[in-house]
Amino acid sequence: MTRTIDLPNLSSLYRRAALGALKSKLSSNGSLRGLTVEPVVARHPGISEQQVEDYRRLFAGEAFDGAHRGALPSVLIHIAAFPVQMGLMSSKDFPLPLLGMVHLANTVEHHQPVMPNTSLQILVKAQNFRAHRKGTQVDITVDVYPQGVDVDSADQSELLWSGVSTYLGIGTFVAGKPEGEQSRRGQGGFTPPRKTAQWNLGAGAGRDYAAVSGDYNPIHVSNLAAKALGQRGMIAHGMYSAARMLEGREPESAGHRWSIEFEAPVALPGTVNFAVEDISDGTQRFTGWNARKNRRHFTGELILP
Amino acid sequence: MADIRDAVIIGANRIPFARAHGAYAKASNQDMLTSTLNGLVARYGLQGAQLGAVAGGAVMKHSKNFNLVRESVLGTPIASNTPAYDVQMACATGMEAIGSLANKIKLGQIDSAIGGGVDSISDAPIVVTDALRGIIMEANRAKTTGQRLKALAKIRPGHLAPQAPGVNEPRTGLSMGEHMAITADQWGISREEQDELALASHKNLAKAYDDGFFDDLVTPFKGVDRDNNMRADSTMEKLGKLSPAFGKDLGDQATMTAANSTALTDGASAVLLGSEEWADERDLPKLANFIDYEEGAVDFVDGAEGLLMAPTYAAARMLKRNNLSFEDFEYFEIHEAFASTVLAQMKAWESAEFCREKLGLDKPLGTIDRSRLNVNGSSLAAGHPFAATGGRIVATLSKLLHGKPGKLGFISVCAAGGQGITAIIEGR
Amino acid sequence: MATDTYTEFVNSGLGRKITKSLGLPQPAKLRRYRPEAPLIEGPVVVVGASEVADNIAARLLTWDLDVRRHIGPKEKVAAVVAVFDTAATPADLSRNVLELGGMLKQLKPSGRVITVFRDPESTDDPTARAARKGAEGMTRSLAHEMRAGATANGIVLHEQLDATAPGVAGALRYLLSGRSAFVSGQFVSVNSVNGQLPHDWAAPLQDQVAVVTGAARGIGASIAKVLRRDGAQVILVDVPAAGEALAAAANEVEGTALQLDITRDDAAERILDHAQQHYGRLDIVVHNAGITRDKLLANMDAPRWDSVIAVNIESQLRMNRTLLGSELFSRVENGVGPRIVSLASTSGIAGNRGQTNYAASKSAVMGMVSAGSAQLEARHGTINAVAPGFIETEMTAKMPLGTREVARRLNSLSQGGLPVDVAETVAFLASPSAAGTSGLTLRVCGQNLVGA
Repeated sequence: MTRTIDLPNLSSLYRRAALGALKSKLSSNGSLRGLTVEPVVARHPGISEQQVEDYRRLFAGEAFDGAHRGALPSVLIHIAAFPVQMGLMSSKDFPLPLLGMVHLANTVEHHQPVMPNTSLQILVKAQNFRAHRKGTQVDITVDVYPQGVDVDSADQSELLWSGVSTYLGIGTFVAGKPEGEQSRRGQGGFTPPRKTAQWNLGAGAGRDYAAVSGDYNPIHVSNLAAKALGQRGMIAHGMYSAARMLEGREPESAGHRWSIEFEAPVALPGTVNFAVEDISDGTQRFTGWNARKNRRHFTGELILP
Repeated sequence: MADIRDAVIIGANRIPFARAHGAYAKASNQDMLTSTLNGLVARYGLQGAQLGAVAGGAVMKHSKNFNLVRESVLGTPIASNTPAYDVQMACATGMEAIGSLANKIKLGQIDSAIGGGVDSISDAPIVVTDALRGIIMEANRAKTTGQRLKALAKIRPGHLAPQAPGVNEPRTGLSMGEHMAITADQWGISREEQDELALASHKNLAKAYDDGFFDDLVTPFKGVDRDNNMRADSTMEKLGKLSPAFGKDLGDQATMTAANSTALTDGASAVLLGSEEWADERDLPKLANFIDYEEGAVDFVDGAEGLLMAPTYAAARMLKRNNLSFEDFEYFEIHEAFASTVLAQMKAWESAEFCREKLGLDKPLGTIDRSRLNVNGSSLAAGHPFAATGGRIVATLSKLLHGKPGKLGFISVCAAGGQGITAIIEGR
Repeated sequence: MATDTYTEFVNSGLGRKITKSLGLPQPAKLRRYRPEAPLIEGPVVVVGASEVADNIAARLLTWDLDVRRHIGPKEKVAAVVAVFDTAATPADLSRNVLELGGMLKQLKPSGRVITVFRDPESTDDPTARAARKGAEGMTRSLAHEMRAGATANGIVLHEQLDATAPGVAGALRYLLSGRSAFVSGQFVSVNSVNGQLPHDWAAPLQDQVAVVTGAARGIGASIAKVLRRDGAQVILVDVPAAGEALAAAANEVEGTALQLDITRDDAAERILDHAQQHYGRLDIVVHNAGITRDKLLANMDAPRWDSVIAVNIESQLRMNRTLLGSELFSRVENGVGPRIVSLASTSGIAGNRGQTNYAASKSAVMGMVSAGSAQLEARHGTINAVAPGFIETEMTAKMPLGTREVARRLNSLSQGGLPVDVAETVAFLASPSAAGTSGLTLRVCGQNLVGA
């Protein structure tokens, strides 16, 4: 069954999450297999021209491609769907605490162009709870449909945009401990590609993205809060990196796929070395890394139709 | 092109280039350009002359200088009915101004012109944050005091931090030096060859000054009578001691230092052009003809090509159009944005693979004879006030070619945004 | 430039009363040349009965002057021209001298006395030479007695020369006019019939091309301005380091700037090339560039000595050789050839403590000029020098106040000269009407007490 909800308000969700963090929903050694969380669907009135403009200013500055395209960049659709993701993850039956959840990866298939001011239906599911060395991983899938479609019976061809966000609930082992040897992700021997760009991120980069996306997760906007959540200081939004990586590269007619996998978080303020490599015709690989520490922040891929 | 008349380079003037935040710290772009034009007017007796056009520009420009060249012309004895306009093509601004004016002369649209450029790092515009600008504009639009105060009340301390002018490539966030470090690494340009080129630039420039070569090309300004970045006493040992300034993440492979990269400088230059008839009418010298020029641009954003390699492409097209090869040139002036820029361009022209794959040529463009390259010094020694470099190069090359009728000179100037200009000048 | 506040003060009503009662010097505001102003206002009395006197009176009449042979006791006199050409013995001077003396109290401010006599050197007869030298000595002393900006100077006629020679007219006009405001007790010799009077006295250098060295500032810039005002086209030369000021000076006079170190071996070639390129001719060369490197000889070092000699005289000798060897600077037009005017100094005449090098170079200039006239004569040209005394310039502004004030007042006009005073004399010597005068060093010093 799909539950229809109102488009959640992110800031109240974060307030609730802060309270919820005090009590764990489940005991840390709980091991429930086949966890099910009821999917939710919400209506979105459409992304406003103002938000598109704010997004463009943030990522493109004066006169980037965004100014000339009508269709929305796919990260902006993610931004539209994010409150629904959060609504699901803060629902009573979601087994992992919201705050302190780590964004591990994102995969998006952008099937069709989406224009501003187009009403949308956003269907969000939690799937594939699985064990991780540090806790429990879950995939939150997001399907974006136009208005008027029955999301429970909709055809794939009616899908506008679909994405999978993989999160890790640290310290909550609802799916048990991983079996066998699962080593830390190997950072050793990372040989950076030849950089093609450099991102110079100021201390306000998190607040700037929050202003556009509405995602005021304290870990991105406040050093104190970030420290309370186990970071050394504020870190950039993962999707900021995704947005910047994709800026000017997405086809307006859509039909493309992209993914990003996050490794070390980007501390703010900070500098990210960035490289684009053409893997094959229509496929680009992206790498973001810290040159000083020789640590990778993320890798990404874009496959054009 | 038989019906097209010659565009004659008559002469030039510039002020000595001065290291940023030094001798010209209190001079504006308009001060420097006006002084340069005044020197040119004095050298060629142009007081009261109505010219066809004066064009030029500045890369770093205040919004109040929206009409920089026109305002500068009004501050000189050039007749005030001389039209003037601003041109901007990053470091190729001066070349673009001169080249396009030469074309107008060739076409008979105008008979005389001054092209040039000016730049000041010391007097660069400082801009407020977008947020503060938004608030100020809102307050400006407000109709009542209350609305205005409400808008102004939004100002937060963070808004007040000034934004330094962007010197990084907007699309990559990389400084020009970082871009060049990547290209230098790709082409395997060694530290030693870069230092050698830098040393030669200083020695050549110093010798040219001592020989009086610049007596009729430079007019002092604010007590500076020679480019003050010039270090005549430099040695390979001294240059070798410097640590890398760019491409530091290449570790041991980093080769670019403050000495084999151009220093930030302030300065201005201007070149006087005219038709043959105009020059004769006014009894003016005819140093050289401006034959042709070509603009180039490359896709550097995702690293497909080096930021400063556009001149390699422009050169290939320009040489083909004029049915010329490098052997046909007496002198080469390749703008030393960085020593490695010159070396990478020359290696590219020597590379069969590059010339085939990128330039679409059967064979390499060939080797440039070092004894003909930047013989009177270039930007590493003189400095590089962005828009002023084109005028400096055209002036030096024209004078070198004067008295050598038919001998050709080649110019390459790279520019930000992956652009560049190449040009051909013929002595007379 | 230094401001002569004292002269301004004296010329105010209260200032005049105070300074007079204290017996202080009374420097007058000098009458300076303005092309649009009358040559001289008021009666010009010609004293003496001779053909030369008649010719001079006739010449003055062509300039629409109020020429008189006699003057009433109440009338103001603008100028007196006293002609002594027929004086054969010193006793012959008496009549004219006393007649002249009788008119001096009627002389207007900035009035003129011009004596005319034959060249003492061109006669070997002791009595004749004594008479001529007597006229000279009388003029020099009279100059010291002049008041209110008036001056006394002489015109020295060569033995054979008739007073109708253009050079006589040129000299008369120069001495009557405000051009000679700061010249007193001096003698302009006219030794040839060469010379060409201008169609328009307001533009005596029309169509002429002149080069001025050291033209970026001070006296050089002023020379360029006056030459331009007189109709010449001017090439302004200065060292490359002075280029900014040079450009400004060139633009002011619609000339062309040539940045050049005149000590270079090819300096003259560069000047000739520039003149050929831009004007196709060269008529006048003004060697104004000069430097000082003062030091007592006991403390003199080679750089100080050698640089002053190199810039102030060796460069001129070298340039003159090349210039005079060129076709461009050898043209004769209307009987007038190339003209060179060189800047000497009263230091070179009287000497000056701490200036052995400078005085040597400036004396050397005078030597070059006196010997060079023969060379120039062959081309119908002239070479002369101008020796400035105390001139209000950036250089003299740097002198200590006391020294400057003393130097200013130590002359018959009780004030320092202006750069324009030097420039006017240079322009006169460079003009075709002065082509009868060569080998002369003319002092522009207000008859400084120091020296001759």
